[in-house]
Amino acid sequence: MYFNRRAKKIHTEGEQLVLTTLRLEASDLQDPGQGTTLSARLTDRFDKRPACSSGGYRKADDEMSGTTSQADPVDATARSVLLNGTQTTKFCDNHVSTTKYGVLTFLPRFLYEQIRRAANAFFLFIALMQQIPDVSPTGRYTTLVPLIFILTVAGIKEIIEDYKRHKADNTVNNKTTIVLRSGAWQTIIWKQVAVGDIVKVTNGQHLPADMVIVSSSEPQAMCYTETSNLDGETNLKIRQGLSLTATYQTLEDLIGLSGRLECEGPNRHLYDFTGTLRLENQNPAPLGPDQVLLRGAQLRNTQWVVGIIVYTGHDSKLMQNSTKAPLKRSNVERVTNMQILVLFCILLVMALISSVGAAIWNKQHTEESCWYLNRADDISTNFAYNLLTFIILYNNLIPISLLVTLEVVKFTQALFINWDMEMYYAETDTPAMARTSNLNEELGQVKYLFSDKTGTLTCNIMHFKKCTIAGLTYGHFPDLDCDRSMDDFSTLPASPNNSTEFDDPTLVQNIETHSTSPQICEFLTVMAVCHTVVPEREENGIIYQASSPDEGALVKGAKGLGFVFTARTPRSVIIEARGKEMSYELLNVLEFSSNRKRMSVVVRTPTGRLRLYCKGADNVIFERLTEASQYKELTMAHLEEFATEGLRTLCFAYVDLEEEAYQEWLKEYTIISTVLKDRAQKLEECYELLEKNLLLLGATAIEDRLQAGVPETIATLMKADIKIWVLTGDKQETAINIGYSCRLITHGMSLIIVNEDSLDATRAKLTAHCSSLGDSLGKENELALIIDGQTLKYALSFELRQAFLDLALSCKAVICCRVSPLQKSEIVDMVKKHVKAITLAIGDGANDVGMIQTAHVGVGISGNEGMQATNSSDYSIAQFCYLEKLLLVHGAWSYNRVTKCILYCFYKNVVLYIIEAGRVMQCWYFWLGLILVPAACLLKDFAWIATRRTVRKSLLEEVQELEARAVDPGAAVLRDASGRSLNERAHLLTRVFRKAPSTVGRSNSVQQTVSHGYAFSQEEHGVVSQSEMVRSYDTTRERPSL
Amino acid sequence: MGKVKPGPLARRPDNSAFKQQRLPAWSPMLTANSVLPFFYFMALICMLLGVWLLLTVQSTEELKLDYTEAGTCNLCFEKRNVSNAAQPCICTAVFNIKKAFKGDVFFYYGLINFHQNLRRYMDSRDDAQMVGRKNNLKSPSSYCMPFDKDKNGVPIAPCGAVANSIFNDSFTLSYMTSSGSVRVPLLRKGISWYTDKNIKYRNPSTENMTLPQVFEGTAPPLYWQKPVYDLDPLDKNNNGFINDDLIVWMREAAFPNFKKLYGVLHRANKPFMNGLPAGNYSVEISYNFPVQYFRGRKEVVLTTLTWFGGQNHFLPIAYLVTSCLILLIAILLTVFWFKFGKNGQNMEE
Repeated sequence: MYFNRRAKKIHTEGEQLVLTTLRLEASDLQDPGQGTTLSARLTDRFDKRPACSSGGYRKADDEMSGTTSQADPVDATARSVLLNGTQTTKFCDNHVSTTKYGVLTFLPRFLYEQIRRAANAFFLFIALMQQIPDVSPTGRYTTLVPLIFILTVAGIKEIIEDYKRHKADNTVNNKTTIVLRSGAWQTIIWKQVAVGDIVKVTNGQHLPADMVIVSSSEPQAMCYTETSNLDGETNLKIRQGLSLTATYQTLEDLIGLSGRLECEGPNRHLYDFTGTLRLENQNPAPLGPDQVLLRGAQLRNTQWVVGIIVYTGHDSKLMQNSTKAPLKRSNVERVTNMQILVLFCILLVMALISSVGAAIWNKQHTEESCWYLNRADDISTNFAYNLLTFIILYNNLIPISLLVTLEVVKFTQALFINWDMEMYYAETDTPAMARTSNLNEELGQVKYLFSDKTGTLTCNIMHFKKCTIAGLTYGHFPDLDCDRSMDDFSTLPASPNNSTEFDDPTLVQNIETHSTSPQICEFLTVMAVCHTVVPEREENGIIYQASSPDEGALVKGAKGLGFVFTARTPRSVIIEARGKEMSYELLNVLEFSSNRKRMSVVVRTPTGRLRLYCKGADNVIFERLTEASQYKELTMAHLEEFATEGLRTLCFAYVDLEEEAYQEWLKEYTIISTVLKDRAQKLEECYELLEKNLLLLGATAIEDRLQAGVPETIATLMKADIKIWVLTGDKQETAINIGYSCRLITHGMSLIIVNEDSLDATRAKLTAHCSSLGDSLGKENELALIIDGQTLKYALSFELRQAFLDLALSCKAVICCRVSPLQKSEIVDMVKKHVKAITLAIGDGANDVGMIQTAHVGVGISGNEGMQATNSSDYSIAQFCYLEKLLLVHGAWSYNRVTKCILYCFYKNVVLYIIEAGRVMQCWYFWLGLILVPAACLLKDFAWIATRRTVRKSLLEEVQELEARAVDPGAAVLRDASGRSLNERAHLLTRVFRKAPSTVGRSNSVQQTVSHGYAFSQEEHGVVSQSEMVRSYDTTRERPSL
Repeated sequence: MGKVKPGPLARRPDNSAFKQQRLPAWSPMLTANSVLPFFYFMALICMLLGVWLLLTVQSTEELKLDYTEAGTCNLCFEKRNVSNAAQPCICTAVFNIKKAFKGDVFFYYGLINFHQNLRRYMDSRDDAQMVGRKNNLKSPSSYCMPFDKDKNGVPIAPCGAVANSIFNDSFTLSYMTSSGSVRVPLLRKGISWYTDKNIKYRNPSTENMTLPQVFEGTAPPLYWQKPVYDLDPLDKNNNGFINDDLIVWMREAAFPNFKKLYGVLHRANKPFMNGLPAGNYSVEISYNFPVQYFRGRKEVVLTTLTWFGGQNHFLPIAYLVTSCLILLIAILLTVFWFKFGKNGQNMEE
């Protein structure tokens, strides 16, 4: 299944811009660059940490240290790789190690790590002090033995974890690949791959090291890679080898290769590569990032590719980018540490007071007066010694067992999370997994939830569900199977149900008989012809390879209706329309771009007519319809209908072209396509000339399926006062669509849409919105803020940050679209810093790694093919809806239990130490006291709780009481805050009144109507343009193989 | 987890009560309805216990006599002031018992402001020596320093500051009747703990030697007048480390004001069959122990005991106070409950 890939568009220009500015700053800051580069590289070496912790989303400071090599192209580390020869310089081998400790370095490093913790250092100090004779009032080993025990437990845990890492490294290092060695293809393991090797990678395999493409099975040395491990973009990327080498395909050709490959030294920039290929007897050819395949990427949709290894092991871009996963500490832990510090201060004060007391006592009880004591050479008359003695005596005030107890408690809680049946996803056999146990209690305090969209809220499976053709809607109507009740979605997770496929017999009937039959045929032909999908024949049918899942869904939909797209040749598209094979000559592809929001093809139909087929967003198509076009109103009404259901819509139109007009246009087009300046813009203008006077055919509706239980979970979480922000790389329209379908945005909500492209405009917009909100700023309003990545770049600037935050916090829902991974983590970081609240980020792809690592708690969606998010997350669950139980049950319980445990630990130690100090346990006294003391101590608690419960009881308590009395608690739950029961109408009224302030904020850009999201996502501005790609395939021929 | 089960649901968690956190649990709801009866009940229990303990304590008799400067001891007090400790001094103090002490009567000596609880003092002893180890007899532990060896380097037995400062006053109690004074018989043995007498303190094995021979080569502690093997001239078996008075002294008191058992009334003959009759008594003291340096006091305590111990009012009073507190809170809670809680509505939000 090569289609239906998750297609996530990341606004690359935006990110590129950020990077460039950073790079400039870096080069400004560090002029000679050389020294810092070395040191940066050295620190990198020392930080050999988990390989796949993050993709390319480095923090700004990383960028600073790493970019100098980029700023200075004449790098001393530039390498020269000999082809088919022994290398003159020694390069890093392809062995990768991500372990923390070696056999020898374990003890010192581990001890250092442990002693760095304040509590352990304190106990070590106490243990050492106890070794001084006469100072310690307690035994010599009372602290040392427990400390050693604790360290041993921690050590064993570390050893187990490191061993796992070691094993994982071994599996990676021992994967096999095919390498050209001594004149033949040999299968060797990854760690033996060396720089300069010629490697052959076949479809579906991961690349063993960074390599430069020589040739591939595809035309013009093209190949597809999925780089989700590196940058999180899950759409297929096209890379292309040099045309110079594209013909070197056979073994003999490759052996015959000789020459040199020069390139820059290893660095961490995924999108940069500069090099030169100097083949013997040939002109040197420049190499760029488009010729490079990176370690960690996966070869897709390509039979094989042959490449020359340039960077291996820790030199590869993937390893250069791996950063230390940040150590997250929970809030409770921080508070506990604070408390330990306070206790330490109390201890010091106590010891000081005691020492002063001792000094006074010593003054009175001197050698002369107390003849029975030997005070003459008693060190306890020394103030400093006394202080130490008292510190040791009172050290029990700080519970030594606390840290270890907490670790055990949290570990158990993590096990309970792992064991939870209700968070087990049978479909992919994935249980929930707590990867770190020290954040359990944070889960119960989450206030802000940042969610990725694709793959997290949605299944990322597109289905052609409905259509409207010539004013008639078709499609599967009462879709009951989607409305699952709350009870069964957890036990019966959504399965890709076949009933969601387009299935409407009326359409098939209407093709035959209905008066709109020609329109229907035309419509289905557009579906089958106007796209960039490549068909691939397999034994049992055709597999469509689409870089956009929407197109894939449409082509598949057309196939289901008898219009099968069978083959593509460079100049034509062959379809099988209801059993008849028809060939459409493909004259021009008017490419898709996010500005145009449409795509067209000019074809010559089998009957010889010249026709333009166009599909695109409703607004752009409707603008270009002729006056005479029918069904406008009906289609519009249907579109509205589809959009309210959260479906992604596309309008289809066509126009018959005049031969002369077309020829004229073609002339102009050929001139413009060779223009160097502003070519893209001019081309768009040129396309515009042809795409006019269109005739509307109809529209399709594609369902971007939500994961099971998403709307319910979001509703529950919102009820729990958790703010949900959706951060997506997807388009604004689709994001809003999903916002509606997952009920994050409701129809009563006003939308604030901020799309600006300059700092000033953004500032003006933000301040305008803030001021129009007036008093309700900072409170939660029935508003949804939608902001795109470009604007966000300005909104996140230091100057506007506060205004943006104010506005965002006043909205009930926030959706950020077209954001880069870096921006995702910036947003999380901003909220984390400015709002004192716990944040949680949930995502599934490598582009979410940044935000997952930044947030207080990171949750990864597991069970999909990409493991990046899971590997860098703190918790991994298989479905978004499990978040409900994770947060509201496990989180709340863990929080409750951990805090109780900590308080109990402190209490226990104080009590223990009091008993230890007073050694008077006269027998009957002691036993009778045993009844009295707890009674007296518990008195206060009992009385307080009981009084509070009597005077002011919480809803929970009331429900508990009613349940205990076997009374139906429903009445209590429904009763309103004021204690009166409200009827339905009154409920509605309060809602209306509550909504009132939002109308204040309604300005020109606040829109109430639903925009009809259109479905279209394709790679823009790639190495190979859409039309070139379409032209380069001839699926009627066999592909070459080695 | 960990077990590899075949099949598509291999990683499905077990559906056990423990793993799914379904084990039965009980956490009481502290509502007024459940807490109020409990409070009233506790108040009653504490009240009853308090009253009972108070009555028990009240039934004990106790008499304290500070003899530091009482009667003729005035002179001895002065005498101990100057450094003529070796001279014996005997004095007498008189007292009167108004109500007869019924039952067993215990005779204690008490010290005020004597710090037996100082850490360094408490440590200044060698338990290994006291348990009769030959090695430690000749080379006492360093903990005893500087009371481990005398000026000539001869090891001290028993070593350490505790033994060195043993209380060395002795008492003779007399009952003064119209026909003259009768000596009150005191049992001076069996006043130490069984474990102390038989396990913790032992003389070094004699092996046909006499006790003085065993202790040959050791010196008595600095302030002692008699060597350790000659502490009780009347009973040979009460000498050495197992001497009852030594054992009692060596069990250090926790507070600077303490009393230690000196003897128990021997109730074999009249008029002491039923305890101490009311009347006048005199106590003859061999006054040796100097207390004026550390501003201490010495006293004699006569008391009867119950199962609960001596006269101590702390616990009964604590019970009574707690009971009153619980009662007070319970009444307050009842008032609240009547006022707000009866229909029990959720007032939050």
